[in-house]
Amino acid sequence: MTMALSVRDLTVAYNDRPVLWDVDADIPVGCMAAIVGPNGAGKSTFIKAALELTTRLTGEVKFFGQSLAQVRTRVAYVPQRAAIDWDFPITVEEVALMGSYGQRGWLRRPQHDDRKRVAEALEIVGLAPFYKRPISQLSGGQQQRTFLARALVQQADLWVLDEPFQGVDAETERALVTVLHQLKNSGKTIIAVHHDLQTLPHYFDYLYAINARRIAEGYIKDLSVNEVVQQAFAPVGMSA
Amino acid sequence: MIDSVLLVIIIASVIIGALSGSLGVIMVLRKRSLLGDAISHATLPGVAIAYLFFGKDPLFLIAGATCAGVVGVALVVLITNTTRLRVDVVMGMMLAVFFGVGMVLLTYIQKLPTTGQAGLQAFIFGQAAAVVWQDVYVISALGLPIMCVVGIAWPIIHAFCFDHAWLHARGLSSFVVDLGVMFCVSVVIAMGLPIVGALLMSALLIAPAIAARPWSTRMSQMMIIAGGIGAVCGVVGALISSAYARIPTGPTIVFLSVVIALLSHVIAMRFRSARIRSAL
Repeated sequence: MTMALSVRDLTVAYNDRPVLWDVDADIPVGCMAAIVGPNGAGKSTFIKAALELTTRLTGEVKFFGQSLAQVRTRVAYVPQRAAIDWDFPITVEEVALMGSYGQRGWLRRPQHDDRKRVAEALEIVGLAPFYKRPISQLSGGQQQRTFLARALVQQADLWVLDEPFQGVDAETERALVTVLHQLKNSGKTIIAVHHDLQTLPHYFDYLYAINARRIAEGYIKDLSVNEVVQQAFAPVGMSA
Repeated sequence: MIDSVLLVIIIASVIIGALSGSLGVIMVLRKRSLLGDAISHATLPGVAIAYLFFGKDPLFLIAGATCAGVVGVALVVLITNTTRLRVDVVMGMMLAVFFGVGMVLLTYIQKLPTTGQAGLQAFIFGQAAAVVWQDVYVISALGLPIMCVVGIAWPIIHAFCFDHAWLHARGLSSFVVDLGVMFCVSVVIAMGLPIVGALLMSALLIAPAIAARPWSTRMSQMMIIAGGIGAVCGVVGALISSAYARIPTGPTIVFLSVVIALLSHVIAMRFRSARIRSAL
């Protein structure tokens, strides 16, 4: 079976402080995977290191069996909302249009079909009426939907999302999950950092538990989720 | 009546105002406002060294200033990344070190028997009256390609300013883009030195961008407005200083742009509260 993301012996440290130790991962194509772990477990770092946004000390990362450089346009990254300056002068449409940047060369201007894809993406995430609005006037949920629209325009096969449900309203959370489920049903792979253990089995079908090391991973139906989660959230040193 | 001397000053001021105004938007939106100040202070040793080797050719002086500015930025980035010092500490330190070295070199040059009045002090405080047609040619010949590069590489610059991590994930090293942008900014700062001077140049980079912010919903719009404000300040500053003999050009341009920035925000606040009141 091909893996959407396979990781071997990934080690990352910030200023001499190790955050990830010899982490392995094998997330299969077509699943919707939750990355779960306590605060400071290295969930975001894991994503960032895999996408080469953070320097890694050791480790090999493959996407669809190939190096990231070979499949970059197939991978969409949705950063944490907090990582962005939401006072930036940019409209919803422009953010979404960014998803088309770099697909056929970085210097190419957006074409008619790019704008059509943007309109469709904004329709899907329910932001069509707001396309001319500056992002500073959006609610938290609308901001997250804007990000999702940008990734939709990119037409990626693997979606990597860093805490997509952080600080969004219930309605947006439902809308986001619906879109992500549609993507999964059309064969895409979703990997998301997730915090809410209540919704975990309802939203996701694959679990990757991490706490500086890989605690466990697998399809949720094959795992005893409670046990895995307990193990991941146990104080370091007590986990076997 | 506008004579040829004044015309040169006006043209040079307009080009520098427009360039620094529009590129300053990148610095402000990247939250790098202070870095412009570090670059302009860092250019001084470059000016002095270029003078020692190549004499007073403006092209070489600008090249020297640009190189020193880029070295200054590179050192700031390198030290911040490899030590635990915070970026504001490193910038403050670099600014002083480079400026100090520059002053030492300039003083040394002033005292050389061969140089006499080299006029390099103009690079510290600016001296628009000394600007000649040759300077205008150099400024135009370098400024036009810079604006073309910004226009052509717009998707990259746009994404870089808004979300550099995302751009990095898409395969463009934000370090390389950063270096390119800083190079362009350093060239513009270097070209502005003879008019505005190293001490005030960063204000001309930041103030028009700040003035443009309340009236822009897009970055491209903000760059055009800021460039326009910079250009207008250039003309008006040059005219005021020519009408009143004791008023210097560079500081007047900077002062105008800062006043416009303040007024712009006061007016924007008025507008906002009026809109809220009418909505109630």
